[in-house]
Amino acid sequence: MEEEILYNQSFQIRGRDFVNGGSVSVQIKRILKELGVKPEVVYKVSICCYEAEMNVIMYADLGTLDFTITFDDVIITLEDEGPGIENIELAMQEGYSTATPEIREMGFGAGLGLPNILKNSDDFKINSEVSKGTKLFFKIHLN
Amino acid sequence: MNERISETNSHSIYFEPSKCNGDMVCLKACPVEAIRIRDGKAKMLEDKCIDCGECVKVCKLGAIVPLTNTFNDFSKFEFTVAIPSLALYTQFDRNVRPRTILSSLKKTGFDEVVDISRACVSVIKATGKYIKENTGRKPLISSFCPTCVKLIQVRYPELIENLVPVMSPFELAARVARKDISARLKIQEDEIGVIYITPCPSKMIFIAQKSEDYSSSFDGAIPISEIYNTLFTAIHHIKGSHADEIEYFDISGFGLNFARTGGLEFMMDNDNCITVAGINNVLFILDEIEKGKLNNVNFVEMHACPESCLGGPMTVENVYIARTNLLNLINHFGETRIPVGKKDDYTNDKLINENIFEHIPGEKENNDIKSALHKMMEKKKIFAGLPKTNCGACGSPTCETFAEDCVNGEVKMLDCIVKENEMLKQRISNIEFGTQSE
Ligand SMILES: Nc1ncnc2c1ncn2[C@@H]1O[C@H](COP(=O)(O)OP(=O)(O)O)[C@@H](O)[C@H]1O
Ligand code: SF4
Ligand SMILES: [Mg+2]
Repeated sequence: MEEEILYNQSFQIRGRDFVNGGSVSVQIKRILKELGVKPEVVYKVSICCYEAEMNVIMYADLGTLDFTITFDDVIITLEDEGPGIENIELAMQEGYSTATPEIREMGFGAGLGLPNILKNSDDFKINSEVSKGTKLFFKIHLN
Repeated sequence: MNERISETNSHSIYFEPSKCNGDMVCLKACPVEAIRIRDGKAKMLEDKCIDCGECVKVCKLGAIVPLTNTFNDFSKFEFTVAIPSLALYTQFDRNVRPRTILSSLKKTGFDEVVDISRACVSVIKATGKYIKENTGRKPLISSFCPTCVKLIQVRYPELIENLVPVMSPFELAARVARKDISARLKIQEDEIGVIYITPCPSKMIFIAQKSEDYSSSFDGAIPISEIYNTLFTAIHHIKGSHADEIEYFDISGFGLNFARTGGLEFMMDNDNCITVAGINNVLFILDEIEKGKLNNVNFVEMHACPESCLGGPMTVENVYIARTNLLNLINHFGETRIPVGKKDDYTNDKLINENIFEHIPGEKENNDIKSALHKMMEKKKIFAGLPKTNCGACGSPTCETFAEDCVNGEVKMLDCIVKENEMLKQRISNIEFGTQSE
């Protein structure tokens, strides 16, 4: 059975737009809080969205984040145009990062983003094509 | 106890309708939009209020009353102990030392008084250790300001786990004092009344709260402003002719840093800590934490009042003088890191209680996503049609809160004066059009 979509909204994320870093995940978080979603769920969703959003800002050119609420889940897909990821297995390892020294200076690049999304979500998929872009999908149960 | 403070009343502020004339000072002063003017009277939205006392400060009519105690509330106790906030030491002339203040405070009618500066040192030691050993969420957030804790519980429940679960120094001092007096003087623990001399009403909510995991060691709180006049007289009396009546108290100069903004950060020597004071700044920083921007910060020291408790709503001296007084005292006692003490009851164990902070569910907590979504969409639609002047004439502080109140059925669209005006103009033009066409 297809799940009924209760809410859907799309957001654009621009590469290297550090000024607005985190603003999409905070908008999503506000919506969930307004809806009275449980704090643990809000926390997980916002961690995952923030990491995914920052990855687009740090590594890609342009991303579209699609946010959906169903009866049971929050579902996020994030598709970006950018360099893609050559070795996904490596990128998923804790501590692996290709962040530049400048990015590290800003406090990013600990190599924990993707592993954290995996840890905090209930369903996770990642696809990537080198020099085209990356597609991320994750789901978090509401209850 | 004040009859309005109970375990069921979760607020330390009371709105007295008979004294309210419905002006909008408090409506606009509330940092969390928890006040509405309805039928010409201010009213509190219980699930939004964080007890910061900003409305108490601005209401000149005495219509917003802090639900603290007075001296008489404690007559039922065999023995009374007063434990003042460090802010009390800053409220008098700079040459009046804590010893004089404490001795005078006792003279105003308490059986014993206790200084908390040494408890501060132990608590900060435990806090610093907790932060160093933290492998969980970042940033950790200080939990000593009850207003900030309540704000997080109500508005940022997903950050409750970030609060450092170390007991506050006043609670520690209260717990130890009760035990010590009971053992020393052979008085039952529940016959001892332990009273906080407080700079803010918000402490009351935590004193009234009794749960399985947490109950305060205090029996009540008296505002600094309430005892100020009596204490002032007592101080001058003692200073004038009874110098020998000034008792010895073991004050830790280092511990006094706890009372200043940035003092925790200073006392702890942990890396990467920040300090924020003033309720609007606190809201700003919580939003930044929410955005993920502070994930690399280890610890945030947070105070709802400007200059922390020295600027509490129930202090008397202005914060700038109070601050200078405090710096003077710190200087006077020296900033020695090791508190000099004869007895040291304040050990580090038992200072941590992971379950102190519960989530206080607001009106929004629900499992019915569909109807919540419906409300949200409805609110968006109403908001889009509003003038967005945030004038407050409707009795809601902003157009957005008005839209929310509309959805909740508390107000009607035409309670917005701009909307009402539009409607009237429309009617008039309809009438004029009607006459012309005849
Ligand atoms: N959207 C993306 N586009 C291109 N590369 C990415 C993207 N997301 C992640 N990566 C690559 O995967 C690595 C690991 O990502 P992550 O786990 O988030 O750690 P970090 O961002 O700290 O480097 C990154 O260093 C980067 O090389
Ligand atoms: S900063 Fe101090 S006085 Fe102000 S609300 Fe917090 S604890 Fe009370
Ligand atoms: Mg990352």
